[in-house]
Amino acid sequence: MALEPDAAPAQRGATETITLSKPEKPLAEFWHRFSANRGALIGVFALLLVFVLAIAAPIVAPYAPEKQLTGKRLEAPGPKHIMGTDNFGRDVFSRVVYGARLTFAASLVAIVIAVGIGVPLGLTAGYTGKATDSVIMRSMDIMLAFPGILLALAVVAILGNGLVPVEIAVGVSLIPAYVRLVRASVLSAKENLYVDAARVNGCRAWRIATLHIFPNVATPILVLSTTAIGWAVVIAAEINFLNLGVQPPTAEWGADLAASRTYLRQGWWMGTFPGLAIMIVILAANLIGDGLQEALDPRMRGREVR
Amino acid sequence: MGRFLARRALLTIPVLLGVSLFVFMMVHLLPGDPVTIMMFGASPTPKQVAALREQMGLNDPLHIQYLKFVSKAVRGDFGRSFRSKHLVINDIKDNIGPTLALTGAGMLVAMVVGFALGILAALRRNTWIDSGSMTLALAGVSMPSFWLGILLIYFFAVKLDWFPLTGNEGAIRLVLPAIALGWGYAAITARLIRANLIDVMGQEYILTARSKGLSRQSVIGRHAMKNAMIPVITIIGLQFGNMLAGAVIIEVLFARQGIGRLLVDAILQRDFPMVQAIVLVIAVFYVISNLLVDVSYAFFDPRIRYE
Repeated sequence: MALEPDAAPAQRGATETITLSKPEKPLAEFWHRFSANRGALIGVFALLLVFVLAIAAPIVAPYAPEKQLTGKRLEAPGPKHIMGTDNFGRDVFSRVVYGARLTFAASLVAIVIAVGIGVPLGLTAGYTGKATDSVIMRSMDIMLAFPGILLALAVVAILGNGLVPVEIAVGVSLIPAYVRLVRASVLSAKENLYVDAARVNGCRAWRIATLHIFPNVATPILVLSTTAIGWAVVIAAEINFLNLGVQPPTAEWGADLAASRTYLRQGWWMGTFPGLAIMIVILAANLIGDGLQEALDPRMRGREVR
Repeated sequence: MGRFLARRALLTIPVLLGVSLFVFMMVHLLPGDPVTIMMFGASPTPKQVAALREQMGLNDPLHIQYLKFVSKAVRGDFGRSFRSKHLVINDIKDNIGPTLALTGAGMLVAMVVGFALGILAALRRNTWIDSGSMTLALAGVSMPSFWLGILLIYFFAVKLDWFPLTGNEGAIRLVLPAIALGWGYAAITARLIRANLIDVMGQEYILTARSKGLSRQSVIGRHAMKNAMIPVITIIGLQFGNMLAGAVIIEVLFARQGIGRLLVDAILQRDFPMVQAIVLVIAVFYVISNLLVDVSYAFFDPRIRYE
């Protein structure tokens, strides 16, 4: 059998002679392509760096993030405070480092929520089809009728302030993207001969869905999830920027950026560093997403890696 | 075309009903009684609470409440604000103008900058112009609007003093907010136009047109742009709704009047009739703009009508 796993069904009958040379080591080939993309590597490096800083925050940060140093209000960046101090005399670097923890926590929890709800729904919709599919997809249409941040704001309005509502709000707003992606991948994976073979052999539906179809969907989920880190960071920071999320004096990039607005004249450093931190994480997520897309896109295969 | 239009328009009705159901359910999903939220700290007597419940229709069965909600909403009746006691619809009417102006100006920025960068990059592919434009676009995609907004305020209002800091009046105060709102979308548009244009330029009909002896400019203008535009229309249409929601952030940042700022204040004050109404209004705008996108798509690409 020499059929490509994701060859369109129409192509099957038409050209019987499609011979397919599966890469010997798919993982090695993937890495070869991915690592040839300098931007993606920079993205991985930057994201890892921020992640390590977040985990090691108690060691890296010279001060507690909420510690107000007397007589040190709005001090410019210098050897003692490399990112300066804010209007309460708190060390901006320490706050940025601790803020990374909340940012990662919020986006990871959000993505876990979105994957945990979105993937099973997408698998069900794509595999069972018919009425179940319609019900799930129409519900997604309704969720998608709320643009961008609006759904998250509605969830926050219901659940109230705090970190957990923000995590749930961001997670909920990411669900439709996963459902649509997984459903589309399932629909194309369902056409594979080995799925028919499994059915003929008497496999149960859930077993086919999880064992034979899910592996086809795993890669797109991975790609979406890297991009989703960027979205999650933005939505969470936006909610916190609007003061609808974590409450002071918690160190959080969006909230700190909002607080810096009043002190633009006196201390540009107050907002600049949290803002840069947000931008670096989003940029890194975008670069990795682009890189993964390029390395995994079947259309790019066979082209020379520059 | 007529049948396509009718079918597509009919499809939005269940979506709108679903949206209204979600918005209606918001109050019922709240932890706590809407009446206590409405009284906000005051301690009403049980008699007052009962009277209020009756007045707000909270004693009716849920489906009756929903039907009443929808039939009032289509007439623009969202009740009175919990806090100001104004009619919610009047507050929305007073504030939607500035929001639409901001969204429109943001779209203008997104399209002008997006087209310029995208076309430039595609036509000067693999030169420094291309990589420069695309770096700028990547920076735009990765820059949240509120961060760009703060940078704009810092450089152009605080340091250079070219623009007023905040406020509403006049077109001059629209410039910085519009750039902050539109830049990210300009970046998306630029990336899309570049990719489409490069794709279309590789098509055989472009080669045919060139070999007929047509000039490069006329091939690009007459043949390539038209075909590269189709997917761009979708994105631009979708951007309108997203920008309308994104205006929330920009209005708060620039202290502008608008329904976005009204929404944030309402969430902070737990003013639910206001929250419901604004969420519903923005969602309806979004659904309708998506409908218009699909319609225009069918207009530009006749194949879609016959699907």
